Amino acid sequence: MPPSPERQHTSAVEGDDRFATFEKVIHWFIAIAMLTLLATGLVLLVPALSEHLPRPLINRIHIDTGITATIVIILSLLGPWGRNLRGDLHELMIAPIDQLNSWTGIIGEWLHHAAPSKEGDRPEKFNVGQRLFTAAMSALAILAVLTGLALRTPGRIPLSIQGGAEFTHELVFFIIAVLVIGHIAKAVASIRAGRNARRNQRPL
Amino acid sequence: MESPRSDETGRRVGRRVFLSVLGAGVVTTLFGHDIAQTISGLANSGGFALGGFEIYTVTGSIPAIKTTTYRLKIDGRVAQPVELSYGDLRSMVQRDVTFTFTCVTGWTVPNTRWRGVRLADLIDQVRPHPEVHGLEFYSADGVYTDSLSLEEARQSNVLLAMDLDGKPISADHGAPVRLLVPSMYGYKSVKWLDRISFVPQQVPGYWEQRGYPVNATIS
Repeated sequence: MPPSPERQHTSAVEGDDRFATFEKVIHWFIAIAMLTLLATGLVLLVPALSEHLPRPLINRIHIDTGITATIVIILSLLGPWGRNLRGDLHELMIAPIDQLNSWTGIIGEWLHHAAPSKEGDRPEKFNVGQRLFTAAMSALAILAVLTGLALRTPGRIPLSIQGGAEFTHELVFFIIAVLVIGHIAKAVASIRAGRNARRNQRPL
Repeated sequence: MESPRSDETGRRVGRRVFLSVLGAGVVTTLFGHDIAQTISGLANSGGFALGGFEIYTVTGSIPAIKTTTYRLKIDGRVAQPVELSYGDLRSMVQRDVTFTFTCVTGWTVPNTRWRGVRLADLIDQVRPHPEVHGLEFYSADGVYTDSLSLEEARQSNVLLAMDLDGKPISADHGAPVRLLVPSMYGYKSVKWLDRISFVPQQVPGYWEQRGYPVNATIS
């Protein structure tokens, strides 16, 4: 089965390397931005913390980090420099996970195994957990940005929607925090994932 | 764009998760206001405890006002305009009010205990002119304002609060003095209060000029 055009490009340019330098830079940029947003968000959410810290500065950092991260992520996906990232996104979002026949299958294969589609095929670039994590995080990030914008434009939208946006923004914060902690814990705990990341190889 | 293989054997789980989470987010945005109020209601009934206040400021900064230099100016159409220090306010009769603080965005904090001067006592002291029907409240942040009708301001539980839960209120909560209107949503309770002006008609405040209702009574 021929790979998609995006994958053809990735394979041609990068060979067996799992991620190009640009992809790795963007990954770590997003990681730092996400941790900054979670840390500042926690301070803004918990008055007991914000009373002992410069809240206006924390608020400014939270908003500026969110805006900057959004712009950088959008720009990173555009143009020729974003081809590999678009390929990754395609594989994560659109390409199938053949081994998933049921939700028990998802749990059973969760995180530890690559998702080879057929015997003899090249191993997939991402495992099941990474696919689900990225899919959920992408949607949550979009929700965080949209509801964050709604919080910055009070009075221009109905009160009930603004209240809902605040509720969703905070709910998204908690879900992202759990996912990020899980993501980091899995990355640290998995010897195989760490080895693959260091060697920049696809999971075998 | 879709891989041909997906039509044959694959399952587009990533996309399904993405769209499901996005859809759930839209639903919580549409109904989150009601959900938050329901959750707060459960908390108030003693089911479980939720966190505390969320802190808002419209200027992005929090005024740092020393009690030693604080002045509350009361002017407008009154027989006896006054300027009160923090010590003046502390020396007046202090009242206690305990209520559930309710934000218009949906969150609440149950059983908040406030202590301060009853606004009705100050109104009696300055003696407003007969044509007065409204009071404007100004924040020391230089931007935020809100207002009450004279009748609303005379409610016995409306305070110029200086203590919260037995301690002087913090800067985040509006120190050293904030307005407190228990029967209304929190945006009426102006923080860092430094001026009260008596006017013929009630004037829409900061949020009310941006769409919030002037009558903020909690339904």
